[in-house]
Amino acid sequence: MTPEQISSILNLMVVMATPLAFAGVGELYAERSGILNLGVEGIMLMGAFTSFYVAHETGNLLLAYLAGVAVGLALGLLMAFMSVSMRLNQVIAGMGIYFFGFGLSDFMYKTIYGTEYASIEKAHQIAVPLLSKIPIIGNAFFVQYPSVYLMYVLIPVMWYLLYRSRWGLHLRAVGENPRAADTLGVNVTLIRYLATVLGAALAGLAGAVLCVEITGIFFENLTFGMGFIAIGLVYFGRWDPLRMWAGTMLFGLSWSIAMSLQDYFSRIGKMHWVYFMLMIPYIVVLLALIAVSRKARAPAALSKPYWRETSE
Amino acid sequence: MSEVAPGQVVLEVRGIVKRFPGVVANDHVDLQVRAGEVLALLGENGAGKTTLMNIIYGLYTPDEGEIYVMGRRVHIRGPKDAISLGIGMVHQHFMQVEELTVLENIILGLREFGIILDTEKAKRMLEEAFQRYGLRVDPDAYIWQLSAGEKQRVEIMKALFRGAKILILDEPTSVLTPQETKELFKTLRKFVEGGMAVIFITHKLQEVMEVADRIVVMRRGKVVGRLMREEATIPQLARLMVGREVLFRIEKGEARPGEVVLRVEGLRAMSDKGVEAVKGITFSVRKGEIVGVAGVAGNGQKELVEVLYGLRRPTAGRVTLFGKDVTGEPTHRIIKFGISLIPEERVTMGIVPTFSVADNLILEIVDREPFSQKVFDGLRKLSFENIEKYAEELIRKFDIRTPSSKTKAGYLSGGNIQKLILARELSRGAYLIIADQPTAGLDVGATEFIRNLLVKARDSGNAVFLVSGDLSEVLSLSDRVMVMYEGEITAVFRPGELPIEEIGLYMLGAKKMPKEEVERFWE
Repeated sequence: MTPEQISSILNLMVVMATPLAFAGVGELYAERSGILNLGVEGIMLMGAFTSFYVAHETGNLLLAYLAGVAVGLALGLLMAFMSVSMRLNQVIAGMGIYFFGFGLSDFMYKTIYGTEYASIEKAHQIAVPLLSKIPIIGNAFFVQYPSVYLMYVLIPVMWYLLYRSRWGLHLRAVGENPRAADTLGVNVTLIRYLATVLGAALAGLAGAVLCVEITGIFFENLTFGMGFIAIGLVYFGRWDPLRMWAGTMLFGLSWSIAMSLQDYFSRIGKMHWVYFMLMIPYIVVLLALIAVSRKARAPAALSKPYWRETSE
Repeated sequence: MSEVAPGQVVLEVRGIVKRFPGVVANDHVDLQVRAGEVLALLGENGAGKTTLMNIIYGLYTPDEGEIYVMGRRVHIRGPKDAISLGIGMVHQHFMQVEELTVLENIILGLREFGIILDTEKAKRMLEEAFQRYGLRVDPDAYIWQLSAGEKQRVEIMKALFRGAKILILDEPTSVLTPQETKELFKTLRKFVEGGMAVIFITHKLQEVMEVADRIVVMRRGKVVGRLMREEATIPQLARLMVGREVLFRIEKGEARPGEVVLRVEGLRAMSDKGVEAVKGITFSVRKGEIVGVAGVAGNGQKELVEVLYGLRRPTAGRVTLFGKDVTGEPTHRIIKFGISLIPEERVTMGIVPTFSVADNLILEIVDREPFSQKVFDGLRKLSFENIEKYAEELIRKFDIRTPSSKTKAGYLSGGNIQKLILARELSRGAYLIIADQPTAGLDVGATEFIRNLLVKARDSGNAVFLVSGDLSEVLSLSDRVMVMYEGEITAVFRPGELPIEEIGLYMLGAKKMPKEEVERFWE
């Protein structure tokens, strides 16, 4: 393999890891507060469609990203309302959000664009001065899309906030023992709302990244289960942002290698192998999950609604 | 809060009413607490003590009534309000986050350490507070690493660190050893000498007489007595609390031990966390005797009981029943061999709450005649008539208070659920009865009834293995006692042979009998 090939495999690894990292760290925050949001996939699909629509109509990519965030925010509010205020079963509420996002994104796309082929001008990769000149690594990590640079900052910051800030302490306490937090005057409802809404907003952004940076088009089920992979990676990372981040890179790498192999097999005309390769990243994640699942210990209050007044 | 004179009323509630579906938990309750005193709030489970304190702490909203702090009417909408009024609460079930450190638990919810937490400053202030109040716990230890006594100190520090001047303790001694209890009482005396007010919730009469200045007794949501400690006597308090005369006596004659029923040799087992919880213990239980296990919860008792009942696999050792090896047999076979379990987790392990009382009573013997009758080879049918008859008989015999045998078992009170479990386990012809915390959380009446049942089971020739966190229960029921500490037997004796302080030392692991002596005891 040439250095250029290695560099481009790594470059694609980072690209594929980025939406997962946003969705994953968002889900991680929600779960740390005790809310299991299984609707990530649906929120990503809605974020993807909305950003596609805004980019297509205005041509402004910044607006497109923001539209993805906004729609995530709205769906996060819905999820928080159902699971925190109404205390519904979170698995049911999350699946509801998923089906809603899945159906609505496809419905709106087909209603607005019909069978017409619509595409947008994708975002460009930007080279960072100096850093991008480093051999192999420079081209892989520092000639990248805008959201990748955001990821480089966001994940460490969210890790730091989770373990070192007052809000992070409150978040962790609420997810482990909401009653204990409540008795010390921590607002359980507020924290769960904030974490869920923030998480969903990041899932919306992840959808926007998929559309605006990777595909440039929209189609039904464009996410290919990445939202569920993100939930799996939270388990893989044992609810730690940095470990989860490493998981997204693992998925990105296996995806990137699979794509290279696909190219190879399609060049030599073995089409059945091309489709087989698509499965690889999912199998890798599955195996990784099995490997760590024995050690994974979820936040104690995960998916348990909190009710202050119960007669004991 | 400014300085207050001793004797000044710092907290007062008037006419508090709180209703839950089906019950009035607090029925027009009035209460006054003064600076410099320990006020004992005495009552049985369900008397409404904890509800009242939860109202004062802002966890519940009262339906009626007023609260005054330092003579001023206040509205406490949540714990935050209570904390800022100088009220601190130590809950019976510690309100702590197991996965966080002591320091993190104590500063949780405080704003003064900034958005990015200044842990150095927090640690410094905490050390100062430890100094001032004479309590200490390692600030960097995780809660799950602490003993019950240490957890309680964390809980008290949480309140004091927030400047509590009125400290509420809900059943604080239920998890402590005798030594730790003594320590706690000393600490509380020091607090009130410093001008604080302490509300001490309990149902243990002895403790009230030991630590209280003033006593308020509650029964069924109402205050039924207010006394100074000097004018109170234990029988009088018991009568107020229960509403009738109470006999503090168990009808128990000499044991007539027979052949060995259960023999355990060198048994080892792991806990759920993967550390060794039972470390090679040996003992035996004979026909017609009660062997009791004393010890602080979490020293391997739970794992031991689970191994004996086939719920956990031992890693080494042997369990024999009448000389027959039953090591590692699954639970359904253990049940058939004639071992009964009265589990600690009454509602989740002891019954199926959504099944009727009758169905719960025949759970383990449903496949026997006359409850299931042969239609032809390979097909049997249930006889609801016989099940019903059997259930009615047990309900009468064991005094289970239930509207009917068809009532869902989950609707019964704790005491009646326990009677149901005992009725089932004692009536199916077992040889060995394992009773794990049989009276924990029950009121005086039910406790008395259940202890007498265990003694009766002994006298009718059963072997009884009793595990209890209540030392006085172990001492009054058992014929032989073993003390467990960190998975080992640290002492064996007959009740009356050792003073209570010494037993406490064994429970804390401060003292240990030689292994040979322990093993010889069971010969």
